[in-house]
Amino acid sequence: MEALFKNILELDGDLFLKQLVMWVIGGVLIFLAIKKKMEPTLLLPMGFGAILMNLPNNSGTAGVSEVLETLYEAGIANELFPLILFIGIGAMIDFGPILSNPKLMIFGAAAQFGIFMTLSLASLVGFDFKEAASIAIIGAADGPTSIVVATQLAPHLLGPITVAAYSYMALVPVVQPPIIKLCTTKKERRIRMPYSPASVSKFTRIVFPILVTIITGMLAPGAVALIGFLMFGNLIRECGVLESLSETAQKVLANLITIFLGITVAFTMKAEAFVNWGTVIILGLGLIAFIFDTFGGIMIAKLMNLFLPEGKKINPMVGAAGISAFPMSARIVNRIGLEEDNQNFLLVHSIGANVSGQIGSVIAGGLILNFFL
Amino acid sequence: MFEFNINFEAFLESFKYMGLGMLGIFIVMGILIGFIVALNRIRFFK
Repeated sequence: MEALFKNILELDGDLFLKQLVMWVIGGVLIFLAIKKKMEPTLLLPMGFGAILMNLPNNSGTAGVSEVLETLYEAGIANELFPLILFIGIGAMIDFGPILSNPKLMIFGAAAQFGIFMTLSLASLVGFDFKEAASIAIIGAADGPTSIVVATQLAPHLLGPITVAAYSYMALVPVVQPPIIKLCTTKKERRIRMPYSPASVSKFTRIVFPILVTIITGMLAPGAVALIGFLMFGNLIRECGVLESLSETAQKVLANLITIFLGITVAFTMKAEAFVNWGTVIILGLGLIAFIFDTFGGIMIAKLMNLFLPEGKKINPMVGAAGISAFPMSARIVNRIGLEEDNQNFLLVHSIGANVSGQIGSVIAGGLILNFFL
Repeated sequence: MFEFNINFEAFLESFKYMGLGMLGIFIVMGILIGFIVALNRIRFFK
């Protein structure tokens, strides 16, 4: 009988309490994924992994830890999984909106402000610069970028950073609207932006990913891997002769990597390292990063409006879509625009800003690595 | 292990990275905008 309950009798009380907290966190992540449909592809594996990793005494020779550690070393410690995932993401992105209206890229730059604001705040409360930079990159609103930066600068914080990054991306529909309404007037939210699509040549679509890789690689070498894999995926999509590969990258490859990425990140969610005040502060700082990203995008649009003639003014909400959370952010801006004026369609413009946010976040990640590596 | 500790010196130094970072992103984006505008004027594939 004793042998049957040996595992339970040998429990370490303090540690088991922390592990119980991790079960609750895992349960919340699974709930958000299934019930609220928030980033289910990652939150569900992470939630289950959080429970799996925190079963008492699971570190035997055939324990879960060893298997996940092998996956971690093979796919995350060397950044393989997030970078391969970027091929799939690149193949999914249509850069058409920014190629036909490149000024939208300004919002993709401005909406990275939250990253650097958070860097300052994190360093103020006692994190060293490498840790602060890893936390700040939550504001990139881009899971793979967060993982790559955190793995290189502060691998011990990878768990909470990844959880924060994916959770806040999922919570963009909750986080952004109040900030947008706080930073804009009703009149500004009702500004209409006429859409006059300019045709984009196939040549431009093909040259763009190559050009971005070269320019970013020269100016922000730290971003080469991130931007290179992203643009490689996009080139497969746009070249027009690799439909089969493009489809595989978008679906099979991205799904396969996502399964492993989610469950492997859970390796960093061990109760003894995860359940502490540092994690709570990281989650708080992540939220601040998203708030200031939104603020930065809106403010640059307002600034531009000071110089634009009447009739060509930009709806400042489009600036808020400059964060990388694609396509949630663009949809929210469009939804708020329609709430204010049922004929105010902002989706095309906000999608453009959102796509440029993808590029902006990767450049920000590269610059952060340049500064602190 | 994280320890709460107000560090004004690091806070002030971080503004240097904020300035450089935002400047860097705007420069890269500015160059890309310039190239896109130029590319849009070229028509190789009709």
